[in-house]
Amino acid sequence: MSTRKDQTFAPAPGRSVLMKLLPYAKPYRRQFLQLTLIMLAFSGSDAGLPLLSKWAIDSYARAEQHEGLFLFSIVCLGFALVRGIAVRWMITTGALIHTGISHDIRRDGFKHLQTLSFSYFDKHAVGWLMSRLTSDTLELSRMFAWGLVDLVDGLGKTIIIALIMLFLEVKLALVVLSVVPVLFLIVIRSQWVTLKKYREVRQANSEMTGGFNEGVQGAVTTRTLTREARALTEFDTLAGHMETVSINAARRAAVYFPLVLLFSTLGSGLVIWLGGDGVIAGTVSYGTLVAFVAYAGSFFTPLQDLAKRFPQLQNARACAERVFSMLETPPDVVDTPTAVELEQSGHLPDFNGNVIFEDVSFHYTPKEPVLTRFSLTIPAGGSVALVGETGAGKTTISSLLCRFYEPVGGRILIDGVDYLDMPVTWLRRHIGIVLQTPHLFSGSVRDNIVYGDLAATDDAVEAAARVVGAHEFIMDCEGGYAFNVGENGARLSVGQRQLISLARVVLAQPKLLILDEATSAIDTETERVVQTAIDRVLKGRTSLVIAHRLSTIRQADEIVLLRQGHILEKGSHRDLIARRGAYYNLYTSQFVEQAETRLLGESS
Amino acid sequence: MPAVPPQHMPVSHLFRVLKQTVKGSRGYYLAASLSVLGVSAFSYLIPLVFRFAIDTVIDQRAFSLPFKLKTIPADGPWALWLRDHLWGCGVIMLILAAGQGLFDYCRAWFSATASESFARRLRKRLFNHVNHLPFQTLTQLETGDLIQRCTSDVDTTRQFFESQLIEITRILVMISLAIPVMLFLDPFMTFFATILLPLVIAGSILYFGKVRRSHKKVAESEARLSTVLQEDLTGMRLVKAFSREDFETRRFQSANEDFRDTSLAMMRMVSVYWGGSAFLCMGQICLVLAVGAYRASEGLLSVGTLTVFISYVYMLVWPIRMLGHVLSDAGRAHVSLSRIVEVLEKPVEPSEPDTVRPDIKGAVEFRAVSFAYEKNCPALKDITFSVPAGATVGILGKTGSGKSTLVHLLPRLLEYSGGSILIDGHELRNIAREHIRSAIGTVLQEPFLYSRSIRENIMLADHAEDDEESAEHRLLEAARLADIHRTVQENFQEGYETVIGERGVTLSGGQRQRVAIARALLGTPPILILDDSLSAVDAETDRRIQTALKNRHGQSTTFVISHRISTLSQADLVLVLENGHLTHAAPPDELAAQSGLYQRINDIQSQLQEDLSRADDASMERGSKDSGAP
Repeated sequence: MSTRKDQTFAPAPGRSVLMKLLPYAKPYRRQFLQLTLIMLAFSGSDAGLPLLSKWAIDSYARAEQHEGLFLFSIVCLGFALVRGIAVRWMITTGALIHTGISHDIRRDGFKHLQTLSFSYFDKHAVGWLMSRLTSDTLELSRMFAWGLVDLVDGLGKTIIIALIMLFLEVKLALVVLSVVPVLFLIVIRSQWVTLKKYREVRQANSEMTGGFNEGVQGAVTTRTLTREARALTEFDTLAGHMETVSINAARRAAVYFPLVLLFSTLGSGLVIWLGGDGVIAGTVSYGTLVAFVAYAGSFFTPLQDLAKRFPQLQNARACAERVFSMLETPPDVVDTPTAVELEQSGHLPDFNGNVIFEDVSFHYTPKEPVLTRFSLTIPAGGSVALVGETGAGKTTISSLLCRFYEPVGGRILIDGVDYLDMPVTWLRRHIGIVLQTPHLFSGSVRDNIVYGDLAATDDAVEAAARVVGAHEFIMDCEGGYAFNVGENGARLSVGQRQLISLARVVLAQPKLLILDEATSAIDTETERVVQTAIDRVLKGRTSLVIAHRLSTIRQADEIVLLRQGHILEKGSHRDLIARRGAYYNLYTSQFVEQAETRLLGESS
Repeated sequence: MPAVPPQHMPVSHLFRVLKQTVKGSRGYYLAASLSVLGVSAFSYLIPLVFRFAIDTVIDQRAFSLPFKLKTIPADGPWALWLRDHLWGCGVIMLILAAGQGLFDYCRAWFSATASESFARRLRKRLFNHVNHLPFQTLTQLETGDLIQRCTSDVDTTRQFFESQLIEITRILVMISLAIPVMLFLDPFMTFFATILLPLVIAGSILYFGKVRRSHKKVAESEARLSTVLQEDLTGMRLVKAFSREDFETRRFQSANEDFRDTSLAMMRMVSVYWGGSAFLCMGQICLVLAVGAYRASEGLLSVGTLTVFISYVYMLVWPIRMLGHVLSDAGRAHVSLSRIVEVLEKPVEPSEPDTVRPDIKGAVEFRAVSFAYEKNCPALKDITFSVPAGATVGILGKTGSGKSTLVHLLPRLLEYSGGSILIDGHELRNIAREHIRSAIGTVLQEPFLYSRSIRENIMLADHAEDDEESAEHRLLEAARLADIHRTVQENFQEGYETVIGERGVTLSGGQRQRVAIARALLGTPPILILDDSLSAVDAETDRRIQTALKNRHGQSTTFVISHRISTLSQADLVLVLENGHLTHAAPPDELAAQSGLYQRINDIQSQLQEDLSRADDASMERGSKDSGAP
């Protein structure tokens, strides 16, 4: 029952996925062949061991003479050596395939990720994408290498042993082999049951972990509500369920080994009965009898290893499907033929920065339109401030301008030309962007600034840092521009990170600047420095600012107040204040809030 | 996840701390160990039966039981009957196999019961311990790390008790059972059958030390790879905006190659151990074969005894070979246990024998109260004020001025170090913790909601045991006061049954705060603390809630931390804190006339008017014509 049920839940037969994996296996053809041969040698040495016993017993022990024992010893030593070398070689070859294939998939996956557009990154969390390129690829390639090892070992050993036995004594061989299918069924059944029970355990475990999370995160709340005792009782119920389910699973899984043991011993028992009669009758040698008893007990391990691989194979297939779903997502921001032609001709026009949104519509999902027939003009050299609540569409507008997304309807014209007809790189070369939360990469301060222009000299980097007033604090850091900023820039303060990201954009010298101002204020001193830096960077540039600071808003040539993707009010600060409408309300409440924060946020 | 350096505590210390927790599992462990003994004994008997079949029944040699217990002659009735009915030997083996299987099943059952019940007690103890840690300790602990200690570290420990501990027992039992039997059968052979085993054990231990270092290198390389990947993904806007895709790919590739190479290097090292130990183990078996063949050819060893030696060596070498693995897992369990014990050793809130449980009305008086998180660094100094029951106290101050610290003293989340706090004339220190806490409704700055229904979240602290109707009445009253009732009815399809959090809907910050306020209001606590609890709701709602609180029946003494003048102006008394000092304590209208923080906040409105009129003047100058556009 459970078998069938599990299969219906499993993904559709994945031959296609396996076919897709083949190109990744191809460079390792030699290693695969090598591994197969090694495993055959390994299984052979395992299967041959009882033959050594037979030789020792029949030629020396029973014969009561030791002529040729030296040769026997040499062969024994050879067996041990073959085994040692096979194991070592198997691991290194398997590891080569394992690490190699996962490296290759990661390489291609990463490269592909760089080409995907933002609609993809919106749908997939960073954590999800990371596990595709880390745990999934490892799991997948592990299956390739070690799956093959177990497949060859399991099948190879079973076949070799069967052949040896048939060669030695057909009747006894058939008797022993009759037990194998039963063993195989038990082993498979045990895998499914264990898997199913284990799923229950995982479920109970996640509920219990949830209880722990809540207990730890809500510890203070629990205290203020004086419900420690009740919380403990509730948690104990979850922990108790986990205990019951786990013990139950362990007991169910423990049934199978005794069964296997019983059937293996049944094989040995039959060998002793029938083979023993043969020995007494003189038709079977002592050595053969001993070898057959050994063989009867040696099917279990390879069968079990093989059976263990089935659920893992399912799992690896699921991993492969997820990885390929990523690898096969077509990039949707690509240059049109016109743009490619233009790029190749090398006659790219100058960029003046005259931007027109012409009836632009956009949505992430058709049901929820973000922008509907949105129109806006940013004249070259002008500055536009976007204001409005979260979710009003401000970020979408800036992302459309960067062509992180493309409009669903309408056009965006840059200097009079639809930007879809221009190369993406041309557009982005001339646009600079400063994010709300500054993003730094681990590496030196210099690495982070030079990101704006990889060819920049040290002097240019320093000049850019001076423009935004970052030079002073950089020189105070250990090693100056070589100072390592740590993961995500963690070794710098938020304000310092903002200054560096501004310096980066200054170095890039964009014609058009998009600035997403930070909502939460930092301490007043840094705030002032950052504000000065922003004013300096904005001066004389065409800019689109998602504005939060009142001074930035006031200085804009045009303020656009958005609500749910529509322009509610538009005009200069003076005009909009005079209108006493939505902008007026927004401005006054912001004014009070920011003034309060200024008075109270400063820690003394 | 942040890598916490491994902690090593002496094992004896770990067991002392965990003694009580281990106690309930000792019986099951003993049973599991006995089962292991049973398994080993039966598994050793099977080759002996085979020896009996070969040597005595088939080859007709006398059979002697170990330690000269008894000798069965080859021409006795047993042997002769079996010679004609060889299947009998098979049946005996089957019976022994059944015995071994039965014990193995018991071993699995008992060890699972022992370890799972141990894990459950450990989890419960940890949960309870965390729930009784002092507030200050809780705020210092890193939640993620603490949860990890309570879950994955407990699991590592459980696995150790379930399998590795039993595995070590098994190896010990097997060695101590096999050696005497082998010595009895043939001392000379025993020497050759065990001579290589010490080498395998030594190799295991060596490997255990080496592989740990190598693992660390791989983990570090993997961490670097994830960092590059994570930084690229989170910084995708920048990568694209600067068209740095190729640059990023190169950066990733260098980390990717390094990870591949270090992993491969580690596997190469691992392969030397496994290859070497495979050679030694196989060599050990072959040595028995060669020496055995020689001795048998000299007539010193029977075929049956030789097969016994082969089987025993086979049974011994493979578990011993896994010793390295077992030891390395045991090392991991040691680290995990140390991390768990570290949590358990954090002191809990001390118990108090002599406490009072007065009826709380809500009059609060502070007399020269001081408090310090760290010695010589007072967070509150010499705070003195007093309010009658039912009064509303507004608290204003800059970040870090001690506002939250002050209100946390009341439910005894923090214990004041100097001065005295009187609640209705009783010294707060003498009032039982849970008594005062259940008399105070506390709403924290960032309220925590459980992932349950809204109803359950509000009713969490409802201790009254009466009929459903009045419970419903209390719920609705609290929800109305907190201005959340309408939201629940209009925005959530399932009303109060709507489940919040991971498994349900996400509430906005303001909604969360209002649910938390409803929860605190339930049961009309004599004292109410709102620690900046309305920061996420708009000023209008804030005002509505404040008014509702003021006008309600059975008013509480209310402490409100806020920076909104509209809120503060409704208070009976406003405390202004600066740097841990109480600089002003007066009714709001008096404060408005004094220079200070309150006045400055109050002045914002007039500043705003000034700012607006500047803009208006400017537009007037330009003429009113273009300001009237639609």
